[in-house]
Amino acid sequence: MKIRVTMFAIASVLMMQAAVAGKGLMVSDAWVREGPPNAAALGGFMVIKNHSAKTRTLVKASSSGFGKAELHRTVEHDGMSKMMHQKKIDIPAHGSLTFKPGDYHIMLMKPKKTFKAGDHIKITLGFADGSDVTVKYTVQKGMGKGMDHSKHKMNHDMHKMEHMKH
Amino acid sequence: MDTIKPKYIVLTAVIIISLSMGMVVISWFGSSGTDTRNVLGVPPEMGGDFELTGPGKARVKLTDFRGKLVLVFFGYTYCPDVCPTALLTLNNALKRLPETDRKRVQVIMISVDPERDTAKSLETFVKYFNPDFIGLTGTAEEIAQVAKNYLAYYEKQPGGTKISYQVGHSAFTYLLDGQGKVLRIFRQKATPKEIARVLQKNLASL
Repeated sequence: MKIRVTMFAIASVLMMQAAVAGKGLMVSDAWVREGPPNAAALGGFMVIKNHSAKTRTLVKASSSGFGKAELHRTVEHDGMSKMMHQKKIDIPAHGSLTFKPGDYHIMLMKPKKTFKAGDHIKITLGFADGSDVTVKYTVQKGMGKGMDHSKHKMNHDMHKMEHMKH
Repeated sequence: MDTIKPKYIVLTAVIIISLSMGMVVISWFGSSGTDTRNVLGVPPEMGGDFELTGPGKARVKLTDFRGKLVLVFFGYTYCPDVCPTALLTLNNALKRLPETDRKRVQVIMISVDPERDTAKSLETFVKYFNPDFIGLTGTAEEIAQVAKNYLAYYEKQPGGTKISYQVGHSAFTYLLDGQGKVLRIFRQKATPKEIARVLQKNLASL
């Protein structure tokens, strides 16, 4: 019983941090990297989980804090790094996709103010089926969770969360 | 034969030279994805001194840093992902060194976007990551020459506008001595730990 209560408490906290888009879609670990004060663009990152049996396709992003937002992926080929504009990004059925530095990211251009670590930024993600979800991203310094030692912990938490849903 | 204009001969020559240079660069760096090493050896005839515009529009030469190790990265301030990641990684590598050793390493970002990057905007950008980092820019010709000497390459990506565009660029970090000799090349995926280890080894023999 005690374990159940604890599990419920953990799940509640996690659910508050994760936004649910339509059926079975969950966005977590949403963060925007703090940039230099004159940064012309910032990168937005997150984990999107698709618990449904259908592929969901992310097609756009927008935020009132920026003049423009696009979906991008940094691709390294033979030492050349390029940011490729993504018209659509598939989140596979019963799968997940991680947006992280050096990979998929939301490119947030023309910031309307200087965002500092601890600030929150609302970004609306639009999907091919017409649905959308607005997610609160936390501004953070550095490389994010996905690239440091807390990676393991994050996966563990996600695992727990999945359990609670069944 | 008489009908071929010299213009076209020059153009063909330029294309052939560009293609063969590209092949050389790819064969040195690429190894077609089988090479997973993050610290690479150095092709011959790479490197050399350069003079560009730095903080306060002062002209800065590589040889100004004689006696130090220099880490050079080619990037630009409109770059939201690769360049901040590279500068954060270099800063994290430096943090692993003792304070006295940190002062013997200079990090320089050379702009591959001299059209938009000014000495001032570069300064603000790199100082955010570490107050000792330096950003250098120059005329388009100066940048092209330095890039050529270091087999670095960059190109404006299609799809932008005149003021809003992305620049694709090689994302290697070069470890130099203050005289223009390239000691090592780091791939983008090199970790702070890997870089710090190479720095420490080279500081010991500097």
